[in-house]
Amino acid sequence: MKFNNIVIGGGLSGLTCGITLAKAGKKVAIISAGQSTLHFSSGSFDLLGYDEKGNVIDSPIECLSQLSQDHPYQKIGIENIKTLAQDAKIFLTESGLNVKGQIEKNHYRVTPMGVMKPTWLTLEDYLTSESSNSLPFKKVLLANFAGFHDFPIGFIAEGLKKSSTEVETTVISISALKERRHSPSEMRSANISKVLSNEDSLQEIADKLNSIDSDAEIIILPAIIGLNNDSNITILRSKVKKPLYMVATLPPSVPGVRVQMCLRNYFEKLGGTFMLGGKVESGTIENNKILNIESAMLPKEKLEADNYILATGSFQSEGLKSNYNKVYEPIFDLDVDASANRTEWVDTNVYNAQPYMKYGVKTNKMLQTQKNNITIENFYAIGSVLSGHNAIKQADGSGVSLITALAVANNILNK
Amino acid sequence: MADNLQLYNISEKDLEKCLKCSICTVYCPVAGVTPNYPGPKHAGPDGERYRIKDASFFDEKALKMCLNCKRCEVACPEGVQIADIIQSARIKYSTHKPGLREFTLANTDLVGSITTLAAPLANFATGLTPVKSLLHSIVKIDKHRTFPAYASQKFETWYKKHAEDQDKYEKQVSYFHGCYVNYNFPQLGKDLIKVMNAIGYGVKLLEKEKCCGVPLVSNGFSKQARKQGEINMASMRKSVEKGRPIITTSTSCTLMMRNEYDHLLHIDNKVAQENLSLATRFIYQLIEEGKVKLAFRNDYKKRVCYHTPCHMERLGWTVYSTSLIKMIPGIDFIMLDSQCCGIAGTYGFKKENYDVSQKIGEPLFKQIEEAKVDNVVTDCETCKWQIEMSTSAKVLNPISLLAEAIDVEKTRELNTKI
Repeated sequence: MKFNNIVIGGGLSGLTCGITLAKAGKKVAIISAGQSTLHFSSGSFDLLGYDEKGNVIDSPIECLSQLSQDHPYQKIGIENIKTLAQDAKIFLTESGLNVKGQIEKNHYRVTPMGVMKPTWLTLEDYLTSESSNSLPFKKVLLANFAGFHDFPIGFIAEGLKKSSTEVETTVISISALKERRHSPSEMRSANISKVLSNEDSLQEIADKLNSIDSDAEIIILPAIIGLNNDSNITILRSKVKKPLYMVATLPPSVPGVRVQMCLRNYFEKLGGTFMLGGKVESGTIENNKILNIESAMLPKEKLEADNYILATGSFQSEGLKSNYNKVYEPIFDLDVDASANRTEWVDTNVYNAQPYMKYGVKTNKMLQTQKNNITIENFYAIGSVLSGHNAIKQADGSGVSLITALAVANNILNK
Repeated sequence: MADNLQLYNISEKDLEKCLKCSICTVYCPVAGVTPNYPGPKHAGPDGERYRIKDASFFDEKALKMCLNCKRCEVACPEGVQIADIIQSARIKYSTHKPGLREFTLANTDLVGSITTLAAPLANFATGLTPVKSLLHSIVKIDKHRTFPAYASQKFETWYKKHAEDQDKYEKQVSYFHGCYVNYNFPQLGKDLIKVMNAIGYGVKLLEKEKCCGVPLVSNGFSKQARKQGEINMASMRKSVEKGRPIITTSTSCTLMMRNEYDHLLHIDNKVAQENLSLATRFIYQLIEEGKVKLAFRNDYKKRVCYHTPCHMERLGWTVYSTSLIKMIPGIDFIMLDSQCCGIAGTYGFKKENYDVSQKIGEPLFKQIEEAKVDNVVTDCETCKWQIEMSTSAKVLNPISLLAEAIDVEKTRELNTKI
């Protein structure tokens, strides 16, 4: 089976790259072994939140040059990133994901633990602030749905109270959810979202919220509306009298599922082939080029393309693996940036930056991969599988995914 | 030594790889519409940890609600065989004795054989309101269901009359037609033969074909399923010895025999893993290898959408059917979102499942109505029943679509030259 490009991995970076190539008229396949870590998304996309010492960064674009030379952003170059960041925003909008934010200045999102964290782009309907320690409101009403445990409003209220904002909390009971509460363990965000995605339930939520006698300026809800797209959020917002904002819940993440679904739909609409549930198991490399790859679900099928893109994620998605001896890339055994000495993988203080978090496949400036120190010309790596960045400590995960995906798509198209 | 330690640190069906991330629950059609089903994570790997220690943790009522659609497995980023864990638990721990209804729904072979003998009467009777009420209240098959019509002549009977024609072809395949083609819709079998003959292949039947066992397993007759599976595998071995690979037109039969016989029923199915294919995949691969060419009718025009059956999603072979459909020049093609239609084989026929079944299918039905197509195309017979009952659409198997679209004479000419 022949394509122009095959992307291995169907998360944020894989889909971004696949869509960009498909838009340019290429025949593209994405092969994904199960669903991606987008399902744990905060509803925001980080470009760079903290410097190497852990200090909050106000302007990501100004701090890029201070990053260590092995960071993927350094390979792409600051001037390029400025353009690609604009492209990313346009690309998300085209996919049906309206976002706010810019690279000149981080804004702050609110975590389900009530902590403010710096970020680059946030879905339009989510609560954000321009300041790290205050909300632009005197008083907010924080509401939860009765029986939903993955949105600890006590924590969130405590967190928000650290700013000068007054927080009122309330719990509303929606009749459609009464039946669901028989199974408390399955009162999960995605399930609730499906139950509430009808006009009657949205009306009931709006009526309940509108009937609360409060002088709060805005209402904050757990992000459980809008699993497939933002149309139900728009409907609900139009029915609720006060401005309405969402805060992400504990996983599974409804905004993350929405990002995944919108991107996949857009990719397929552009004629792309999305194959879910098939692990790529091996490939043939000859003369520094990949000739074909094989996926578990398509036995005896050689999947061929001019260029291949590795977007398999980090340890959690099994894009990287480790055993007692080494950290390795499991499909092709590509060269990785990782210490050969196992005792150097971790820092014994669990809260410190863990060295293994920066491990990943080795690439050159074009983000081409290599094996046994020889560059594989038609094989690129993007997103979390790349070495040199730390999504948790530096808040650069989704930025690396978006920016490297767009950069590689351009590298391939300009070849 | 260090490597080996990890190599063997793997649990059955990858149970221990479950991170409890709940991604499976997002894609579970049942958990989304009813709280009575605890969801794949809980019914599968979570519950299994308890069941291993103490069988009394087996919750028959809850696990029975699993559709076995396998969308949880497709979604799982860690490769846990969630649906298999659930199905195996049902086989292993269930003490429920299947009743008349389960017997009727499960024994597609036996019931089909009897019913085709008196097809007009059976079709007439199952269409009558009093009969439907009786089935509903006593047998507990839901009254809203339109029973699939039975053909008055079995596909096998029709085939016997035309078997000789198939000897003319040098290249041959065996066709596992399945119960649906045999008893309900022989036309699909005839369409397959039309297409295969046009590309220069004769179509034989297996020496002995039994129901693949899907309805047997889901209705509690796994021992019988195993017996029938052994017969199918023995027939396939003989077919392969004669140089005939085996093709099918049903995704669920294919998935069962190829991917599930071994670990669910402990049947040696190597022959199926290597030689059994969906007809669309078989034809696509021949075309890609340059061994076969298709010529299409100039006047053929249709707007169609493709619905991905759950078991097709699990097989991962959607790309073969859709690629084949897209080869037809006159086709205006729409890909529907991949989601469950709600029927899940015999599941939706049961009275207690009817509401859940229809609720699951709702978003799909809506999308189909909005697509305004001439046909919905799909590779599954029970999806066809469900979609035709719940929407205004007519549903075709891709093979039937091909049979309509090809120019038989030109295709025949193209393939005799090769």
